[in-house]
Amino acid sequence: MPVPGATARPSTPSVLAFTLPAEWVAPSLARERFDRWLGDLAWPGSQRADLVLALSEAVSNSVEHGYGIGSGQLPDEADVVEVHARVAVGPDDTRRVVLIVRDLGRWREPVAPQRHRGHGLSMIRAGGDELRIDGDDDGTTVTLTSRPAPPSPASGAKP
Amino acid sequence: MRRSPPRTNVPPVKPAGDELLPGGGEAAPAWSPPQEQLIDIRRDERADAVVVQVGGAVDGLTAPRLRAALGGAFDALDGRILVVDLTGVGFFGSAGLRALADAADEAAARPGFERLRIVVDHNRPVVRPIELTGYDAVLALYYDVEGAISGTGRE
Repeated sequence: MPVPGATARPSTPSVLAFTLPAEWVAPSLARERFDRWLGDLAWPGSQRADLVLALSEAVSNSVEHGYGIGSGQLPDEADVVEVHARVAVGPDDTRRVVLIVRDLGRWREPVAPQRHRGHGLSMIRAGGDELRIDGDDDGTTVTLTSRPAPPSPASGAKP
Repeated sequence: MRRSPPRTNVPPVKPAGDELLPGGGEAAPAWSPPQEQLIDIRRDERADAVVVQVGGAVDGLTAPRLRAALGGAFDALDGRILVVDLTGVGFFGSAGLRALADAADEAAARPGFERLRIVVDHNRPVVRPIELTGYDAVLALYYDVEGAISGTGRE
């Protein structure tokens, strides 16, 4: 059932992929692109804010913990954060976003909440239905599967 | 040609690579706004309160500015209450939550134990992270500035 009043741009690609230098401005750049892509897909507003929050936290985790980049510090050329998002269509035509944030830094144990710290993980987990974190000394990959969204409102077009 | 507005305290940002948008897509932005444009903080001095108005994004990059603004506001309170107006905030992450919670701790430790009052109205980007981390139980949240100043209209 198309969402009333919402129209996805038919030319919106179903995959968003980009790589950013691991700087403290990276989450902001990532948010802007991801949010625009979700908007172009006419993604439900409540999910959209949650997904953007999750993305931002995952990217900042990569910068600050994966690579250990301090505020105002410049990353090495190889210190990058990869963001990949795609739309997965279910058998009932509902859609989910599968968001992957990857860094090539070191594996870091998620910080347990203490003295106002460590809430980033809660925010990532709350962004979708499934969260998976894979990490080793060569990097960390965060995979978040969103909650289901209605089928694309673009008439006849499958994402 | 890449535009490079002068910046004094933000490291240069390289354009992103590997923009993989099928069908061409749009070029990556050649520059990113400096921190001063990502967050907007103003101080409204009133007779009975100091209102710190925040707009834009509060994330790891910009949260230090919020912290500094709240620190400055504490120093200038002179018996008045401190209100943080987040109704204009479009993004609020864990760094913002940390800045807010630390400021709330500081407020509680000051003489008078006056709680830090935070205006969120129904602003989802702010309310959502506060609620899902349980901080709505410890922060003094209000629907609007007048309610926060008078101490009524509590969420």
